[in-house]
Amino acid sequence: MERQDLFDALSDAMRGAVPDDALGGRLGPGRVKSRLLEAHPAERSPDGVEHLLKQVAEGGGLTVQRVGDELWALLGSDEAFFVDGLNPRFWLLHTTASAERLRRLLAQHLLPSPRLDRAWLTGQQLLELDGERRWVRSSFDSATLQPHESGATVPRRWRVQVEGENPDELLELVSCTERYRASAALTAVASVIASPAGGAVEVAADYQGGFVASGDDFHTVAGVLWRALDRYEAYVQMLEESYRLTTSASETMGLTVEGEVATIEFAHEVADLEALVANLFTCREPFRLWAVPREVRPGQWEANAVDLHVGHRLRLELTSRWLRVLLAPETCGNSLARLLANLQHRFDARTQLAPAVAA
Amino acid sequence: MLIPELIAAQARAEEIVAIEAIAARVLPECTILSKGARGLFLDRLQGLLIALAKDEFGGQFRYERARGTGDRGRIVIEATPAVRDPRGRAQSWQAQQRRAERALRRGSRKEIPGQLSLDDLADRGGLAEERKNIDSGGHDGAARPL
Repeated sequence: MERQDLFDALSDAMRGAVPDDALGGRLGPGRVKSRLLEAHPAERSPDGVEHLLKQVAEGGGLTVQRVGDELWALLGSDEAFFVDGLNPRFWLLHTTASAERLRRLLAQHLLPSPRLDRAWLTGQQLLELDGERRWVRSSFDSATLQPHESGATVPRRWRVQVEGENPDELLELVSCTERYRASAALTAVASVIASPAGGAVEVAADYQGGFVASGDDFHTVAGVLWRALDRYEAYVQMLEESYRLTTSASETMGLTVEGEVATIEFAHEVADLEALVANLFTCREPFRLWAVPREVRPGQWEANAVDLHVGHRLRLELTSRWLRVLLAPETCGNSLARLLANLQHRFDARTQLAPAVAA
Repeated sequence: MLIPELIAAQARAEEIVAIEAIAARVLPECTILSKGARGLFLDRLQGLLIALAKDEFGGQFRYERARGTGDRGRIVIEATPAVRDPRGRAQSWQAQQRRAERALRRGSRKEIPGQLSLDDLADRGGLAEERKNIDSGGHDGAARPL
């Protein structure tokens, strides 16, 4: 099967015109759900991708079949998932299986692997999704990091979807008001894109790398997804190039340290720093951080942490005003992307990295 | 930094980690140390790893002696939460946090903290102090506080 054949089959599925016996009845009609995943195969090659896929999928009762160049099918008894591993680090997974089935595959088999993670898109990346905006969604929940938040400074919970013409503008307006700006995190967007056949597709994307597409042409959807993947890859690479701290021996200086400390100046003061520290390092989703934090002086904490996705070290230093993240030379940029995205949705929507100082 | 390095190896589901590899990650300056200072650092690291494997992290990893003369031996990871059922995995990692806390408490009582802090090292004179010890022949070969 060529990639184009898969896109044709997914176009048929989107139109509800998929033959009953497609892939033994495993490819049903419906919206195509896609996920952008960040992967660490032992070897960045098609063989490495296949090996990792077999490791994670076969435990879940799925058969892994290579169906084309850098293209694999994960076949269950009633459903099929397709993994496009053309980029061995950033994969696209597509399926028409139910959202619940996809959720279970991710939660039980793919994401528990230290070699796989979601993509954590920034609000800016969501805004860059192609097409004419149909709706935007914002959600926020401070219960994870600030369980005793009064709601006076930052709304504790927030979920809103704005539909209509230029919905981005309305969310932008809300994010300018003092009362709501801390919680106006951009969570998902949907756009309509014209397809070459004269029809249209609608693509929705969320900040956890999830996409849902409907319409008449998956080829158009694939273009949108590839551009999102390219932007995300560039973002993660930028984080790694800017913030990994490396040391090298030098004849004149003894030791040269290169790279920047990733610094976040909190947009509002942390009301309960101990709660934030305790809840960052619970070893659970979404932060997936292990550490034994210690208070080095009143109001200042440090933690030599391990990102349980991929098992890389990073050091965090924080006060109620700022957070510094020091990445080891090998630390995955996705760790920083995950931290940032989840602070935006759980602490303050305005959370962002201070610009790296150019060398 | 030492315990997180072991936890990181567990998270990567590694089976074997060479002492030298741990040393390079814990202290990047290791590469520019003199042979004597490096040997001293590796001695200490080895001592701490053996103590951790005997006490709080017993059953989690063990130290295995070097087979050749050129290396320092290795850590063999015997158990890791990374391969446990995802439903109980977070609790297993939290158990590792409790083990680490115990090790750190023990370490601070005996001044042998498992969490090697470069800040602490700097506060105590850092590697310059180590070099002074070596130069003056003051090293007695025993594992000392890091």
